[in-house]
Amino acid sequence: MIQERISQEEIAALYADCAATLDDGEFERWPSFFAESCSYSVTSKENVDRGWPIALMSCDNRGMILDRVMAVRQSMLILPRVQRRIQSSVRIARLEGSVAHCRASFAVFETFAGQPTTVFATGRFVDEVVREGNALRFLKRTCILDSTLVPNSLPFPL
Amino acid sequence: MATIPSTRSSHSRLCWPEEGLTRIPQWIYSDPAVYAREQKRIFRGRSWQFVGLSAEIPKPGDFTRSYVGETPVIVARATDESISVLVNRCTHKGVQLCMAESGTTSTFSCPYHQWTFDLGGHLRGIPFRKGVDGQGGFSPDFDPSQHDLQRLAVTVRNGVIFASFREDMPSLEQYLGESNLAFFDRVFDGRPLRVLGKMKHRVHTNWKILVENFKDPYHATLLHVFFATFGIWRAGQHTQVRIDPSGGTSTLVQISPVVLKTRKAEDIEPTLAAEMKVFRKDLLALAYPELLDVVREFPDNEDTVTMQTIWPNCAVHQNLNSLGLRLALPRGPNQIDVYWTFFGYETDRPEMVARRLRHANFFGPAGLVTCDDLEVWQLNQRGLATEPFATSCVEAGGAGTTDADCVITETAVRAFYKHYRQVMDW
Repeated sequence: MIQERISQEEIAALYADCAATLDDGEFERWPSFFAESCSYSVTSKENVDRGWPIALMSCDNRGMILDRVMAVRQSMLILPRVQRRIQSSVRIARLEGSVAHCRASFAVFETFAGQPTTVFATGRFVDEVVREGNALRFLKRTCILDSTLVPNSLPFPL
Repeated sequence: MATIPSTRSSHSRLCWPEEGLTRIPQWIYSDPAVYAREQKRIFRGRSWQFVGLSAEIPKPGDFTRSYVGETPVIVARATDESISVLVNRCTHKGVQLCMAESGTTSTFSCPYHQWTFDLGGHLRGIPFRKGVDGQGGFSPDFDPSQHDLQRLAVTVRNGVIFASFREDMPSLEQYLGESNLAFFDRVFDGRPLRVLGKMKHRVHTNWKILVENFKDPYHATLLHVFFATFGIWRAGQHTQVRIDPSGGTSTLVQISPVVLKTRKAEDIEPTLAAEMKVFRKDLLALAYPELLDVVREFPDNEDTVTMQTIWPNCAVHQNLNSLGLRLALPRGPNQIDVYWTFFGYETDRPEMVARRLRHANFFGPAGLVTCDDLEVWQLNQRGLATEPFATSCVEAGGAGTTDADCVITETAVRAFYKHYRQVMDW
């Protein structure tokens, strides 16, 4: 079966839907944005520039993505907050066969109850997207933070 | 630790509560004068402070930036392979001359007037030193050797670099003491290290709150769901606390009774489970249980966790197969920049590297375990801000400051403040 070519509009919708899901705290829905065989990581520009493999958050497969959600919901102590993701420059960098190599810039704002809103993080996504069934899903998602200094904690996926 | 607002709390800024080491006056976490005294007596005082790994600067000319307390420094490998730690401040007018975080160079040149220093910090070049056309320039008596970059004392042990503002430092062996030296050498055993990467975050708490946490086996079994549920650190397992003679350095050790190749939430003794409210029998087995796959890798052949804190503000963890150094850099009384350096050994097979990277998920700002501490410290700091003259009570395990073989003890915290009071002259 010839797969329909992935379009810019579909990519924009995927990115918007995923960001809104995390903004709304619907973490149980987050794994549905990933392909069966997938990976996700959050690292810093410093690590990428130095060629260091460490990630602040790394999920090598779908199971680890599910376990991260479980930890967020059941095991980690996390002070309540609201996060708001703003994305820009969401684009397909190139198509290679069935894989769309995508990029985006992002900013995440954070608000604790009774506190002013602050900039939590900015950075970029380097992603691979495929069509699985009817939907687009992330085969690989890498979030690269601009700052080396994360404000305190990074409990939720970005 | 419980807070006891006490009428016996001292309102004199330089007076410890009369109960002694079973109390901590909470003004030490917030008072700017205390902070200034710490900078002078501790961070610029008689202490060895971690600045980097040899593996970060393997070749002559390699350098990286770090901090000793608040002071920015350059850690550089000279052409003779020796390591220099230089204050990152031009001796001309104080410009922070090294802008790059890391790299390879033969000289450090200040962008302002091009004063140029070699890898040992010696002033080697001043443009137009003799003026132009016989006009201006510096006197023939000007002695460049009086204007070298400030150099710190350096000691390197098994690939770990420490620096001090003091020239009269004891050896690292004497500094750590016998039992803590053994734990240091267990992880840093002379095998070449491999840097896996760094995590850094700005934490809104006093540096001593973090250090106390790493000396507190008591909280780990009660706060960290992952540790208690999966038997990584829990009450009922053999625990050791080993403290150096000064009190400032300590190692916490816990040994699991069985090797669990794949950990799962298991039955434990019911009274222990009742006390550890965070123990979650209902927590389903992980979707990817290999997350907790651990390989015994140290010669003592025990399934251990060790957490060593080196006076004043450095910690080394060996937990699952994750190895890391943590540095709590003070940035005012209510803030620290925490730098984590994760490492392995050059001889690690790819599967071990992959394991170490997976286990790093527990640590750092996104850590499945560390996050608990980070959030609690926020709550702690909020509580401290509202009652700065209250005292903390540290009576778990009695009143002593010596080694212990139990988990519900604050002996290492008391020992830390024994040394702290001596250094601060209180």
